[in-house]
Amino acid sequence: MAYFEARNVNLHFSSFHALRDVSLSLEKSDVLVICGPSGSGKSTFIRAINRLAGPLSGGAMSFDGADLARMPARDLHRRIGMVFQRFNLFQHLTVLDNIALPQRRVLGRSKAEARARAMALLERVGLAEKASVYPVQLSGGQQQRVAICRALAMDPAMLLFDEPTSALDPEMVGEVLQVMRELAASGMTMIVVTHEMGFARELASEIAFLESGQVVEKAPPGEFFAHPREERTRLFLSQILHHQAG
Amino acid sequence: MLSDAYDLFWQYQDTYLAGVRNALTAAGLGLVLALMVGLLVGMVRFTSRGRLGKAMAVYVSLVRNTPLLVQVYFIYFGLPALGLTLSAFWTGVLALTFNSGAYISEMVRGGLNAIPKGQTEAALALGLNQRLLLAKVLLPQAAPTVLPAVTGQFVQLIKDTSLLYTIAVLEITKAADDVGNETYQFLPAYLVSCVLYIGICVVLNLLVDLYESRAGFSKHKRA
Repeated sequence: MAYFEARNVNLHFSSFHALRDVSLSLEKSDVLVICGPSGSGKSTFIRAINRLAGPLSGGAMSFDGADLARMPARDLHRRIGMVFQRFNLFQHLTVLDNIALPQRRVLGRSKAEARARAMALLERVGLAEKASVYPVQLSGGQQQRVAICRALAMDPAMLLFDEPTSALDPEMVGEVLQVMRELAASGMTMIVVTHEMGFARELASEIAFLESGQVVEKAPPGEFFAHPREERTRLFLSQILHHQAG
Repeated sequence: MLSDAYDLFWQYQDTYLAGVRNALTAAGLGLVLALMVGLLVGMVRFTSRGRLGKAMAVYVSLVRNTPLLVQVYFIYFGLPALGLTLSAFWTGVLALTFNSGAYISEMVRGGLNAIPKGQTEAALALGLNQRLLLAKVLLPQAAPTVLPAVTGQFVQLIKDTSLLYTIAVLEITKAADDVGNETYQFLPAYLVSCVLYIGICVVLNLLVDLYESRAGFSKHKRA
């Protein structure tokens, strides 16, 4: 059994069939990139993994040998972290407290311990001097790096990224991708919803292309970019690569 | 007439000041209790789509769709029927709590609803439970918008204490009525109560304005 595995996952939003028999898997330290047009269900899929999308209407997901549906919410959220498109930093807390609060309340770490861990992570992403400011005083790229620190501070076994660079100004995309690159290099298991095809080509173990809630194609990056099997994938790639080149 | 009122006030200042004291105490106690009720009901309605949430919705709707005077009578005559006898003053405080609690719960719910969903999602994704989500993430962010409205509710409560007159609590209106009955100078007697209400409420409203203009910290932290 793979480290993370989704088998025939189905999900409905009332009458809308958002995910249709989605089967995807990845091994420990792998990076799975999911791409697809908007409304394809790619965000819904990773939100379904940590229960932000409501219950599945069919299929199952497993993580590290355990059925995700049966895992207590606390364990699930402790082991699988998430980074959002819009960062979602707590607006009323400083950068340091954003990273320290969950560690203290969920992991039971002491204040000193949580702060030390937060500072070490901020150091790593080059934001140590921003520890005492509020999120609104940071640029989007800085906020996203803090959000990544906040997720990492919980020592997750896997990280989910929901379009982590889509809300950023172009000049800030690079700094966030750099942090993710380092994470991947350090062996973090990651599922990344993104349209950054350069990132996918460089770091993905496998790329999945979703449309209308279905997996149209999945392949290692070399194959995915060089020889896409499906016409729909070719069309999507030509549109998005043309756009990113220009 | 103004000078009549002035004279009446000094002549019966003990009655009037007792009325002011009782009104402020009833409104103050009512506010503290209503704040607790409002926080609780607001949080339940924000989080629960179940039976408890529906029951709270019925409570809020009952309060909002009946006159306060009717609620006062219901509690005044209803509690003894249930075998619970309270003094008129505490019955009044209870009625004010029951009434204001519902309005404050709507302010709390509105404040919580105004916080972007992403905050809740981030908190849940980090493993915070419902209690921590509310206490550490949502309520602190809702407080700067809810507090001025709650303070405004205190002004409303002070005016509402006038209805406790109907269950014989010596508050500002009852004081004026007593003075009027004794002197047959009803208009000047009520004029005094009027000035007292205005004095208290204007000062409170000024405090609310001051608070709101100083609450720059809330804007500063909001994106």
